[in-house]
Amino acid sequence: MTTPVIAEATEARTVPPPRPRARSDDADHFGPRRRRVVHLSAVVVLVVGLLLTGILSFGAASVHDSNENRLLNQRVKEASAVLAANVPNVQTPIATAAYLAEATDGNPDTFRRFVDPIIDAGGPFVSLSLWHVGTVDPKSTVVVGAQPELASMPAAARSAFLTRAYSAKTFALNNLLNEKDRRIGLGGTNHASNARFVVYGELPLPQARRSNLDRDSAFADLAYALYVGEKQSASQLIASSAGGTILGGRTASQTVPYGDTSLLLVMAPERELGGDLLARLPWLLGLGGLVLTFAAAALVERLSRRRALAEELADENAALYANQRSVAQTLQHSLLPGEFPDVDGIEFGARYVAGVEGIDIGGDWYDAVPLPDGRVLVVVGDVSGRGLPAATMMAALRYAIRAYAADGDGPAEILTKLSGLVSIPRDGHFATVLCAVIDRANRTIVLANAGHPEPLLLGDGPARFVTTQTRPPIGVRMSAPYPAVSAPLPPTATLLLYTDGLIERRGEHLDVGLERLKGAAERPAPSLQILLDNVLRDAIPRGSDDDTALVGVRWQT
Amino acid sequence: MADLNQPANAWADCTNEANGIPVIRLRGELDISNIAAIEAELDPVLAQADHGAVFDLSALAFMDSSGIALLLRARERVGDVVVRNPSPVVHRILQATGLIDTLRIES
Repeated sequence: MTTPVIAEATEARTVPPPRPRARSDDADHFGPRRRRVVHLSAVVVLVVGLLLTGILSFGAASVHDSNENRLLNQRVKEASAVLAANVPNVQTPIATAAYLAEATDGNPDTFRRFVDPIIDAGGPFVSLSLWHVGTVDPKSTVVVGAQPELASMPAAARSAFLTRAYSAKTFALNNLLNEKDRRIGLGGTNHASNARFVVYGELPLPQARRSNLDRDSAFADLAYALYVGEKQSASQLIASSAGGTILGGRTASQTVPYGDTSLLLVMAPERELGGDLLARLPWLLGLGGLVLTFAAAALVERLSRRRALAEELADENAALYANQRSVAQTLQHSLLPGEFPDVDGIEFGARYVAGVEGIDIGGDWYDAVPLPDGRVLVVVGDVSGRGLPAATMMAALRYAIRAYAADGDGPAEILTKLSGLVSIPRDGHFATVLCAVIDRANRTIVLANAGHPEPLLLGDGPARFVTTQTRPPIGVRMSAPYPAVSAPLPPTATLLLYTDGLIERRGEHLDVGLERLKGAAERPAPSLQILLDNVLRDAIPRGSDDDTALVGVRWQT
Repeated sequence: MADLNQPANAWADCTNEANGIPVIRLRGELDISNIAAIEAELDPVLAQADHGAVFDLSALAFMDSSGIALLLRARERVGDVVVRNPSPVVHRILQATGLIDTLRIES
C-alpha cells in the first residue's frame, strides 16, 4: 500500500493582496490593550502644539507690552510738553511785574494796577506781592490777593528764598506743599544785574492732593502724579488723579523744568492704550492655540487608532487568507485518494502539485480502483476552470467512474456514460479523462481517452506515448460512443499518467513539453518514487499557476 | 498554463461575412487570466449568431484549456464553430484534446 505524495508547489510568487473585508466604525473593534495607550504621534502633536501656543502667546504678550510702553512714553511726553507750555503762564506775569517794579521804582499803585486783573481773573495766582530786596530782612511792600505764606515763614528761610529768587535765571520755587494751605510760591526778578525787587506769587494746590483731569482732556485715559523735584515722594506730591497714592504698575515719567527746579510728571494708563484687541490677543492666541492643539492631538490620536485598526484588519485578513488557502488545500487533498489499493505485483505512486494561484482549488484528480481478477482501473482527469464548481464536478466524476467500474464497465463504456453527466451549456465546463485498465493476467492494457494527454509507457525499449484515439472531452456534444483501445502489456513496465500542467507551457509547442517529459522519465531512477520526483522537477516551470497530477503505475512479472 | 510573471494579453475583433456569420478574430494569448474579459466582449456577437461562428485564430499564439472552453461554449451556443487558420501550436493543442473533428478546422 503506497500513500501518494501531495506536494505543495514551493515556487513562490507573491500571494495576491487579500480582498479587504469591510471596515466598520464600531469602536468595539479596538482591543482592550490599544484603548489605554495614547499614540506617540498624538503626544508629539500635543507637546509641539502647546509649545507653539506658548511661544505665540508669549510673543503676542511681549509685543503688547512693548507697544503699551511705547504709547505711554509718547503720551507722557505729550503731557509734559503741555505742562512745559504752561510755564510761561506763571513766569511771564512775574517777570513783567518785576520789570514794571524796576521801572517805577517799586510804585505800589502801578504794581496793583498790573496785578489786580490777574488776581481777579481767578488764577493761576492767589497772591502776588512785591518785595524790596537789599535789606537784611526784606519785607513786602505791596500785597495783592491773599497773604503770602512767605510772610509767615521764619526770617532765615524767607531770606534764603528771596536770595534764590534774586539770583534765579527764571524764577525760584518756594515749596509750600506741606503747609496748612498747600501752595507753590514763585519768585523772580527782571533779571537785571542791579535788580532791587522780587515779585512773588503763590499758586494754590488742592487740599486733598487730588485733581482729576477733565473727561474731555486728551489725557483722560491716564492717571497722573505731579511732583516737585526728581523723585516720586509723597511729601513732594503736588497733585495726582489718584489722591496721595504713588502710581504703580506700568508708569512713565518725564521731568519738566520749572524755574530753578523741575517737576516730575508720572503717568499710568487707566486702560489699554493700544486697544483691547492687542491686549486680549495673547489670551486669544493662548486659548485658540490650546483648543487647536488638543483638537489636533485628538485627531492624530484618532487617525493613529484607525490606522492601527486598519493594520490589525490587514493582518487578520492576511491570516484569514492563508487559512482559507490551507482549508482549500485540505479540501482538495480530501478529494484525492488517500491510499492506493493493494494489488498484487503492482506498485503505485503519485504526485499532486497545487498551483500557486490563490485559494481556488483546481480540477485535477486521479484514482485507482481495484477490479476483479487482479485487474486495476487507473484514471486521471482534469476539469476545466477552478474553484468550487470545478471541484464539485471533479468529485462527481470520480465517484461516478468508481460506480461504473464496480458495475463492470470498461474504460470506453465509462467515458460514454460520463458524457451523459456533463453538458457544457449547463455546467459551463468540460473534463478531460483518461481511463486505463491494466490486466496483468491477460497482459493487456485497455484505454479510452476523452481529450486527455496520452500516457507514457516506460518498458522495454525507449519511453513512448501510448496511442489512444483521443476523442473530445466529456461534456462536448457527441454522437458516437468512446472507442476502446487495446495494447499489449510488457511484462515489466511503468505507466505514467498526468495532467496537462506537466507538459504545457505558454509560448511552447506541445511536442516540446512532451519531449521534455520523455527525457525526464528516461533518466535513471532506482525507484518509482524517485522517477516521479525526477519527472516533477524537470517538467514543471516555476511560477506556474496550473495544477499538476502525476501518477505512476509499475508492475513486474 | 498561465505564466503569472507575464500576464497574457488578448484582443478580439469581429466582422460579418456575407452570409451573416460573424468572423471573430482572436489575437495574442488566451489563458485563464484573460478569458473572462474576452468572453464578455464576445457575448453580444454570439447572442445574435444562430447559424454558427468562425474563429479566426491565425493571430492567436497560444491557447490553454480555458480557450478551449470558450470555443466549446461558443459551439454549444451558436451550433457550429469553424476554427480558421490555427497556428501550429494551437492546432497541436486542439489535436491533443481530440477536437480536430468537432471544431471544424480550416487551414
